[in-house]
Amino acid sequence: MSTRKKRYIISYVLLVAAYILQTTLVREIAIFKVSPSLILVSVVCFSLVNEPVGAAVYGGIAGILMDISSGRTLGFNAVLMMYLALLVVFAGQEFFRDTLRSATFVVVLSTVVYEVVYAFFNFAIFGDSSFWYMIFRVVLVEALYNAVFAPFVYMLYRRFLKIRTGHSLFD
Amino acid sequence: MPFFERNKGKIVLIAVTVLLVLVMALSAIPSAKPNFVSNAVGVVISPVQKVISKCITSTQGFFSFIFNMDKYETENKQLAEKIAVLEKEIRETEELKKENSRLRAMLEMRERTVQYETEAAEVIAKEASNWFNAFTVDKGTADGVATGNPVITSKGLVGYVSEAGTTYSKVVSLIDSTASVAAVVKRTGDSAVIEGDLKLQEQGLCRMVYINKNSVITAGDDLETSGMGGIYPRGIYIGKIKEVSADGTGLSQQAIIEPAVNFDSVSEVFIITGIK
Repeated sequence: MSTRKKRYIISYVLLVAAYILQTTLVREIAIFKVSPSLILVSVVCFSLVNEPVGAAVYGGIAGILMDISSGRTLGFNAVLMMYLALLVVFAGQEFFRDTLRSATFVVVLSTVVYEVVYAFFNFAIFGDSSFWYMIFRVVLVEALYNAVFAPFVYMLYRRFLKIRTGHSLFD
Repeated sequence: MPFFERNKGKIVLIAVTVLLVLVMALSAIPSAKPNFVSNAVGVVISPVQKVISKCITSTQGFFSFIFNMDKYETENKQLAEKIAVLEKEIRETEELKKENSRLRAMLEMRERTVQYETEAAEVIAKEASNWFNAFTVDKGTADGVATGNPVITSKGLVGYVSEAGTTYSKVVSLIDSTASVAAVVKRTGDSAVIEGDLKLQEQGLCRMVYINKNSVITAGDDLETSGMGGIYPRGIYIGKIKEVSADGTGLSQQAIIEPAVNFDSVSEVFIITGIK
């Protein structure tokens, strides 16, 4: 089996593991009733170290898993995650430095963008008055929580995908 | 085809987006059965989620037992006394039920109490996002569960089955921002609609709307399902009114409802699959 295929298999195993943990263990460690999104962190970290097509497919499949977990409209999270993955790839090519600090920053920013767009299409567009309250109450807490997990997930992806750029992650 | 070759990536992206939007439109059509993808993923993943949930529950139970041993002994004594009182009440209630049935038979009236067929289920996973309140249980169509079945615990109403796979089901809880229940205030008979609210959801509460402005409901009143709306049968306990206020229009009242069920700690439920 080629190295590229092995990398993809490992990546998808990590995604499924993130999904299972997200729907079981992670929900038990909520802070202020908000839990981190391991799936979103995984998509962002994968996108930071991969090319656009692979990242878009990965994001799409991660989004479908999120749609399945909720039992709601299939495809909504898939579209959002796919475009988020592409945004991370292209923005990353311009601005991203391969360090943990940089990866954490991208994860936080991606969380805010993703959840604001998600909340807009699910609540604000229907006139839900608690939209802004929930943005501060849920999105910011989730972004900070994701920031805690981001360095570990990013190191995991770099380790399993054997990505080496010749400098320290801790610069 | 130089145009296609130059813009291959963008064309594929647009095509995939259109395809996903079509999938969204199709999945939004109400259906009694889950789509093939959801069912396939659910059947494969739900056993793993069940094992992990059991490990988590066992670990929590172990540590809870270690740290709360003294409390359990006191609680045990109190519960034993309460059981004795409840057993006496059950005996008295049985006598009243028999008398009620006898009197109804004399007046040729039908029985009002309904016995439900239920399927016990365990919560094995929760929704991945922070915006909604739904969870997955370990029973599905293979166990007689169907989409739309109400879900309860011994304390009261939990929600309804939004998707029934072969070996799992998705349950949308009462406090989910997309849920609604037709309810009646037991004391006054006033009917209204209970619906989830994004802000109240995080406190484990929901709200009751379209209450007649002349209604005399008050905090502490009990609520149960009214049977209207087609999903929930009549008479399932929902919870209590916490607070009553006028709504923004002044044409009706609204209330904050405290459900009887604590949705943070729900682990076992009963799915109503039919009526005996």
